[in-house]
Amino acid sequence: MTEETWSVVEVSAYLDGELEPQRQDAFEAAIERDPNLRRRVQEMEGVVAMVRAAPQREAPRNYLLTPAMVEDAKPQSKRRRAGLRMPLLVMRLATSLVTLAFVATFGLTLLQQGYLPSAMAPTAVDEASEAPWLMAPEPESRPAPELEAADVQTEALSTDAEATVAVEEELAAPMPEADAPREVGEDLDPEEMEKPVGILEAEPIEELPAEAEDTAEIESEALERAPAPEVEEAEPAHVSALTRRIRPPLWLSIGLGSMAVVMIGITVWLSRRELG
Amino acid sequence: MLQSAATCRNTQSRLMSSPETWDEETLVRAAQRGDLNAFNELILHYQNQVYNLAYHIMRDPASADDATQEAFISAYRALDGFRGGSFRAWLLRIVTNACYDELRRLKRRPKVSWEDFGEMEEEANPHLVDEGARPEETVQQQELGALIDRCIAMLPDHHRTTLVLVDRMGLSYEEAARVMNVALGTVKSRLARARREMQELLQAQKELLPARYRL
Repeated sequence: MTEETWSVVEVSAYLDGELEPQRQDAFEAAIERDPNLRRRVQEMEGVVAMVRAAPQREAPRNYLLTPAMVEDAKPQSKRRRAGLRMPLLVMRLATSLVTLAFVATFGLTLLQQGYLPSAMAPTAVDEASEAPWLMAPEPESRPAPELEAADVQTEALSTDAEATVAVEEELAAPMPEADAPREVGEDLDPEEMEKPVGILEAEPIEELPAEAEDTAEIESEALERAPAPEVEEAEPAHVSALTRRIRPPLWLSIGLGSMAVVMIGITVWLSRRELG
Repeated sequence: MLQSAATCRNTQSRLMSSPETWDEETLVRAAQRGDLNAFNELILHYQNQVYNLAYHIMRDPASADDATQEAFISAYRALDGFRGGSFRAWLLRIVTNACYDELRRLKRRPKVSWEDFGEMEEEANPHLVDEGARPEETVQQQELGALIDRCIAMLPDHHRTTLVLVDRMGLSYEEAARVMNVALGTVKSRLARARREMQELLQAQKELLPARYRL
């Protein structure tokens, strides 16, 4: 039967009675059988006895605390921390409010100045597709040319440049029957399709008065000459009415920002002092 | 015979921490209420152990002195945080942490070379004299104490601390684990290695050992 190998940790733990009960019994049985293990135990026991027998040093002096040392150590710091708690709470609240106010005013200012991220600003095409009422009118519901010219003028002021160009092209071109949208004419009789609809029935396109044509041309020329900035400066449709009404001045944003920075600094300083 | 070491350690521990008139719990509670005299009684009771531990970790009497005073001040500051259990283990943990912090600081900016520590305190320590012993025994004790101190000083930091806590100060494995903030198994293995290293160091200097301690 081969002897079990006992580690130095187990030999050491055995000397302190820290082996588990089953291991303790097995260890004692092994000591009886194995002289090598017995020698290892005796050597370590000798070392432990020697270390424990060596006299302890005595402290070279007393380390008693005096009231002055205690005053420095404990109550003062406690008092200081307790005294800082309320101002710190108030400062944290005030700093949060000022920072929020700064973010709100600065954000509003940016929106109104038009400094929007490109992803947020809708393009003219998007706008047109999302708001079909801004597009050029459909041919089948087209009003009389004299009215149409006036409509184009008013719509041009409220729509973007592309929509204006589309209307202009339609004015310049004759009114072929094929211009009618397919989905509108699909359910109609082909003969009916050949006839003009509504007011156009009474006044065919071919018989447009020269005066009306002139008016349309003048208006389209006026639109071409119309200054582009009017269209560009128009606010995006999604800017709410609230942002149009509230116009915080720039100096307010700058002031709030500066105040927020100073207050954050004071709050950090107070927090560090409270932590000691 | 084999059980004598464990018995010796238990006796040492009892003598250190349980005098008849000693009521540690009451003193701790009074100190927590701000009674400085009560805390000073605790200091008087534990200052030798605290100083010894600091001395063995720092391996320098002056540093040990500073660390001991700092540890008691820190302990008084942190007294509100003591939630019961072994006050001694709590106190020794404070001094251990203070000493390790100081050692780390010294290693970053050493004032003296580490070789100096191996030659410290060659002369006998006057504090080690047992007043009841005969002169020749006193000399032997002083020699043994100096030799043991030198050997302990050569151990690695954590092994040294474990050996001092368990074998010199009589702490249980659980208390030592609490002081060093490590697992019980770590204490067991560190202690075993420290004892084996001590054995090798002492065997290398066995001619210096008193006759009855020769290995």
